[in-house]
Amino acid sequence: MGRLCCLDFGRRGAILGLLLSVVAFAAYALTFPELTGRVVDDAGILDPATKAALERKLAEFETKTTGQLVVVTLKSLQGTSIEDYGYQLGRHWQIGQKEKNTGALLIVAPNERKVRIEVGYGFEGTLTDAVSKLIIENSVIPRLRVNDFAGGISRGLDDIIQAVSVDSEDWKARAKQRPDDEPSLLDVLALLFFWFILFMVVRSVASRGRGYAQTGAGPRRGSRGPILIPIPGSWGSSGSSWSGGFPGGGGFSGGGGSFGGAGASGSFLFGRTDGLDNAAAPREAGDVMISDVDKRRIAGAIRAAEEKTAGEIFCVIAHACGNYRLVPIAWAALVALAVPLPLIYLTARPAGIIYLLQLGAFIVVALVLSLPMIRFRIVPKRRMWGRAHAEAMHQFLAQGIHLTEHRTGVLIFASVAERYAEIVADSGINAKVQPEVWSKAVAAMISAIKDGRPGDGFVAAVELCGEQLARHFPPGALNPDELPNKVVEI
Amino acid sequence: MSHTLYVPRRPRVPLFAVLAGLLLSGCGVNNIPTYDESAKAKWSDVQNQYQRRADLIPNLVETVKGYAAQEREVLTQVTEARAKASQIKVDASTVTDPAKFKEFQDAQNALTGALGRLLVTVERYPDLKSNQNFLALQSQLEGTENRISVARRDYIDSVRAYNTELKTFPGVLWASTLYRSYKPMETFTVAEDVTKPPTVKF
Repeated sequence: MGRLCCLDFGRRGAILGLLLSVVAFAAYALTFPELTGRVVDDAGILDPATKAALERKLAEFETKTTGQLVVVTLKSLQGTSIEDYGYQLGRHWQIGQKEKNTGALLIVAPNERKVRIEVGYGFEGTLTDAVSKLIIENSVIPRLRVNDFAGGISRGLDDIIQAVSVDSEDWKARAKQRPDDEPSLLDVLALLFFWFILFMVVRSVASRGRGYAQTGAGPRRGSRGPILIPIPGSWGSSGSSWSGGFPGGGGFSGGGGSFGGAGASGSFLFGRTDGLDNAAAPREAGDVMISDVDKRRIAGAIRAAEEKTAGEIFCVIAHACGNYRLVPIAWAALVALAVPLPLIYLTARPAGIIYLLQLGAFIVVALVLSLPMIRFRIVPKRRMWGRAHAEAMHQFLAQGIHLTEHRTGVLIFASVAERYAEIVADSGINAKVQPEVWSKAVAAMISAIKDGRPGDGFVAAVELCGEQLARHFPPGALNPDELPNKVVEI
Repeated sequence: MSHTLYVPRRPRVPLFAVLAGLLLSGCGVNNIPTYDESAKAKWSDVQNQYQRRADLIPNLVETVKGYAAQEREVLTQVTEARAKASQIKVDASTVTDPAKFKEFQDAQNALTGALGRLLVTVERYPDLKSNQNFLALQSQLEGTENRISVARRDYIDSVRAYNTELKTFPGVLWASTLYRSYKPMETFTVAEDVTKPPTVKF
């Protein structure tokens, strides 16, 4: 820029230009502190404990995502603006992965009393200007104003992490790590029955000749009297009906394909979970699912509640805690067991046909009951709730809620398919709160979810839990945000 | 003996060509196109950021109108300045055409000025200032202004490198022989570059 001025303004301009180029030179010859770690405390405003805690948090973030965050405090901005210094520092240190540019800096210049979040290209989509501004204005500046640098920085950092991990699958992935379904006795029986039927089918197909011999016994029993069971078509001769009506193995393999269809309903749940990140998906998913707006509201409620307490609140909403795929099979088995009885005593059908009817009944009932809509209705309540409770306990551990310093973590858990809600409180807080209080919060949540307002339900529960936490665990000097303030969907 | 002298002579021609190529590239035969491409890339980034600002304005104007419709004058100024800036056709050739470049810069400066006046006016409307939508737009605008200034700075740097290459040895040789079509590029003048977006203070 200086050069241009020299050309334009003649001698006086040359002096001006020289001055300007000195300014320009100063702007380009900034010195940067060395990148010694994830927290560079050039200004020396952080105590070692805070610094270590921040380092830990940043390292954890880095291992879990592809992003990179660095906190830096500056002795001086060297006469330039923090915006100018910030982007040059980011470039100089080359924060963030090379291809993705997913890096961000939280810069504090205590002497100039400036703070800035410098965002790499890769994070511009999630950590937008508006979000960064909100974080700066709401989380950081109020604390820095009273010289609580440690508090302001850690709070700001938490919010940044929260903002950039909205998209990340890591939280979900962590939530998904649940132990495999442990089959109960009912499941085992159903499975045994299923294999037994399969075995019988294979055997009867393999030895059709014997099937004929058995069907021969049919008419003798049938001689007891006329039958009025509405079965379409006429069963003139047992032999032809056997080969014509049900082409043996072919019929069964068709059923097998649809059974695979039941498995696909499990992956349908999967798809719904994943699809929720798209803005359009929640509407399709129906009234029970939680919208992005609700998610943000809940996150806001958690943040507001945690402002007033040292405790931590975490929310998990589950689509379903188990797929209960074996339950319909067990029911179908029961129905199938009952089918031959009237047929044997009231009709003159040959055994082979009765058996096929039984098989057909089994397959049809199993398939119908396997439809997700019906499946969750036929699972015994106790079993569903037991499963959901187990899932809640698992989530409590999986999300690390038991890792808070004073055991003050509270998990608010709801499972849509099971129509189950639960609050799991860690020992520290549970020792001080009456069980009725928790029940009240759960009741408030359930009534809202029943009305199709899961967001309101969670917010109400968060507020009630926040009150309890605030009463028993007032915020300490630091009030670190130990858990992310968010709703995890599984 | 004569055979041993003769044998290595054959590969010398391609070797010489390779050496010459290396020497030439050492002399910066590729510098001018390289710098040219880099400057053009930076230029398109500048354009992008200005476009980003232009895209924010209709929303901003609508929001302000909701609270301060009586500030018609300054609102109209912003809308007109935006329209004027958008009308100017900008492409890669703009950077080598001083008149067109000046036109572009003047139009954008006018828009910057109008926006600045609008933001000053807004200070008088506390309701508007606490409107969430407005705050989001304002922070986006601030961010975009900052991005514009960074993009401009990057552009100025790369144009400086390019123009220097055109005028200094050995680039000047190539410019007058191989690369006659490469013209010096325009850069932004200092006056506006000094203006900074408002910063957050605590």
